[in-house]
Amino acid sequence: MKKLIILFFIIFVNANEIELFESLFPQLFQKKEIKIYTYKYAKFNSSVLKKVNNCQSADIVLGEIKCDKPKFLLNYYNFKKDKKAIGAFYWRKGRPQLRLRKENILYYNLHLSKAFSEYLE
Amino acid sequence: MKKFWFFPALVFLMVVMGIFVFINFNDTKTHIKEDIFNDTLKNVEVISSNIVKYINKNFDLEKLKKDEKLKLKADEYLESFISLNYKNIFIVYPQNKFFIALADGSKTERFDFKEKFKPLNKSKWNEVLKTKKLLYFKQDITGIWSTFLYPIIKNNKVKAILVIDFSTKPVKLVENSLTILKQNIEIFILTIVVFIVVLVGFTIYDYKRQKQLKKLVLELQNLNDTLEKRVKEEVEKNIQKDKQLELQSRMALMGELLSMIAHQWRQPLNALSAIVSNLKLDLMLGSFDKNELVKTVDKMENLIIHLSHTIDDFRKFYREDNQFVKIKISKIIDDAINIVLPSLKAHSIDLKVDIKDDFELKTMPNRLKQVLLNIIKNASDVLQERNIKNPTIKIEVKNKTIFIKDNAGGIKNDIIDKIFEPYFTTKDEKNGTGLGLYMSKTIIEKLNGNIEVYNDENGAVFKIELKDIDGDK
Repeated sequence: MKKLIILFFIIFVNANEIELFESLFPQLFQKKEIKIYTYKYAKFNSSVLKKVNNCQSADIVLGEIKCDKPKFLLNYYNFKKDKKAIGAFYWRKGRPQLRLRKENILYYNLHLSKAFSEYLE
Repeated sequence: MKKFWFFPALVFLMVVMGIFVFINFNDTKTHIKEDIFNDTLKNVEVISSNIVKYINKNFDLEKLKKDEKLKLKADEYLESFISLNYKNIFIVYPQNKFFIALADGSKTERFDFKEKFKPLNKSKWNEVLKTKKLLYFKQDITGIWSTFLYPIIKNNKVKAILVIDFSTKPVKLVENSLTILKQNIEIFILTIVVFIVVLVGFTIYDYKRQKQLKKLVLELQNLNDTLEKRVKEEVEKNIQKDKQLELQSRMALMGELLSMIAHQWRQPLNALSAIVSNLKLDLMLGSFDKNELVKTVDKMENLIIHLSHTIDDFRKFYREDNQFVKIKISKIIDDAINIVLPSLKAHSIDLKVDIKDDFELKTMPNRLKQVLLNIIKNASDVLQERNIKNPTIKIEVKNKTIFIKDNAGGIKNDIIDKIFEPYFTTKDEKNGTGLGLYMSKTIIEKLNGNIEVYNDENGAVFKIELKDIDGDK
């Protein structure tokens, strides 16, 4: 079921990629509210995602920001370069791409649901 | 209405034709779209086939997987096919859950060497791997881009897939144009239907109008056919009515004249009575003188002659005269005066006659006398009614015109125009029929003359212009 939900969001993610994060991050962190440190979004209009102003209080960092918290990237080339990132979401040939790195996810003691196995590198 | 069965039939036929055109048009639209799409697809297939042939001939796929420089060459080759209609042309091969890029002709966002790629509709990609058959699908419902998957087969195994994202914009453009054309045809057909409905309505209206017109023409024809007869009948009726009115008027006048006869006879009858009384007295006293008796008998004879003349005058007046005779106007006036004078005297009304022009004319004397008597009698009645001091009636004749004037103060302005109308009277029912002046006007007009009335400083003036019946004034 979770797999279907994620697939649904990946297919229609161009409508709202925030909804993808709302589905993915609580699964990884096993929390209902996820604190995110990012430069990309000024504010999350979401009951699940909450933007924080510093790295220390965040659960996850969204984008290429220096921080020792789990990092989720939004660009292929950054994802390719940054080997510590737990995953990325980006567009190639007009198609949305979700990537997850198993070893990094495990390194941060995050929960790895079977629903994501399709997207593990 | 039965004649109009073909109009609803025509409208029905138009509607059926319209529906047929719509259905046929939709079929044509689908066919055109399919044809253009198939043509585009065929082009993509030919290009794909050529690319695959070239790749198979010039590149070893196993080497291509490992040699980045070789990939660049393949990229260059694929790039040569990129155009507005072909957005992405790349080759991938399957590896575990992903597809790995082998070569990419895209000008931007080109795949890295060995870059992992996860397509949407992965099941279709797997289908190509499994069936070894080419496949295409729309990327999304509303978009113009479709994906074409062409298997690269070697040793009867799908080694890789050539992917071309091609545009279906020409199909969309044609579809849009056809939609506009369809709308125009719909408007055209609707306009024709409305036009026909209006035409039908107008024709029915016109038919009804024509029918009504025919009916009216027929009625008019009938009316024309019977018009002469009806006019004759109406004229006859009018003549009868006039005769009746004249009779009524003469009867009314007779009543007046009886009163006048009474006045005329009173004095001679009184005289006769006195003579007879004297004779009786002489006879009783025995003082009978033969000479006196002869004188008395002569007197009595004269009085009886006078009475006889009076009766003759009235009899003459009542005689029907349909004959025109030449007569002096003074004679007519004198005759009329002889009849009316005792009555006027009895009411102390002074009658003045001033004949400046005693002309002769061809006329019906009794009719003219009737008019004069009517007017004089009316004047007499008004003078008595208004209790006028020194009541006077003046008859003046000049320039073949008779003026009859009184000093009763005139006729009120609000009724002066109505006094010649039939049954118009200011008197009560006993004293007036309202026909006297109407008949006077009718008689004068019959005698080729003209009568009018106006007020002067003293009273009413009746002006009677007379002409010979031959037309000479």
